[in-house]
Amino acid sequence: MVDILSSENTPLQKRHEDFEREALPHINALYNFALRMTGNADDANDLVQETFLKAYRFFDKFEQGTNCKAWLFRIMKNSYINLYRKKTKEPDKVDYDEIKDFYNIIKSSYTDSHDLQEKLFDNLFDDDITRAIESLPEDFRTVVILSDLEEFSYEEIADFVECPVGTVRSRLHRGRKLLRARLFEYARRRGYVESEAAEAPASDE
Amino acid sequence: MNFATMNCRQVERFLSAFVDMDFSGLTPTEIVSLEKNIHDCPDCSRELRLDIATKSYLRKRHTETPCPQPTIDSVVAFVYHIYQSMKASYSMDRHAGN
Ligand SMILES: [Zn+2]
Repeated sequence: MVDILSSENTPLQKRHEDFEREALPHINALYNFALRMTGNADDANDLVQETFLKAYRFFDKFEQGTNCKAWLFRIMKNSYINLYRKKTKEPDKVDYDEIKDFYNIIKSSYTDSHDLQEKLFDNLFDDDITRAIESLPEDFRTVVILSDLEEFSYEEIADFVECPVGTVRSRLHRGRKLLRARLFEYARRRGYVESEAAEAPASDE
Repeated sequence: MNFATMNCRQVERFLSAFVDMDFSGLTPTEIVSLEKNIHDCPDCSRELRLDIATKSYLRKRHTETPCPQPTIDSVVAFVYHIYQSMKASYSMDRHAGN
């Protein structure tokens, strides 16, 4: 026997199933991004819930076949701005001296990228990496996360941060550079930097 | 900007394109000029290698925190609740002949 009610509701049912299939699998990515933006689990939970509710209401506006994760991230960003950004202080300024110091040290001691990884960073703890990412000023943190962790294209990132692609490109370079400087600083504090290098001037954060 | 006569500072702004292999907004001629600039300059090549290493290091080492199950459950439940109420009002409209 045909269930009249369910056949009546097919468009709604399809919409619901599409949402479950397309949007819900990104919940971990969204939660992690929220965690990195807000810095705490309670706010991240609120942000994720708010994002999915909005996404469900406006799911008709999602263009099938485009990147659903990028669409959800944009919704989350708007919620984040409305809910949290007002509460937080101005993003910290980039300390270019810190980058300069890193380069002075690294130039003299570690000449290639293989060394960088093998000798310095492989011993760092997972927490150091999380902390280094979270410590980046927001403009840099956002592009690095979206590109390196979430694999967004430049166009998608540009759309998200509402900047030209050229700005995304240069922020990515400066963000990665700053991140290296931070990781280097953690490695130095943990004593992984060889003494000769550690004697070179370093920033006192 | 003249891509053939760029200094390191200028090249730096385009390095990421070669890290991410995303050449949005660049013409094939510009890409070739940039490639030559990077190839001919030890500092720029090194900078590129460091950025590539940083990206792959991040990808390899970052840990994802799973979204807490109660959050997932409440999202699923709430979304289902909205679905049910949409369905109810949809069939009420149908029965009312709208
Ligand atoms: Zn150069």
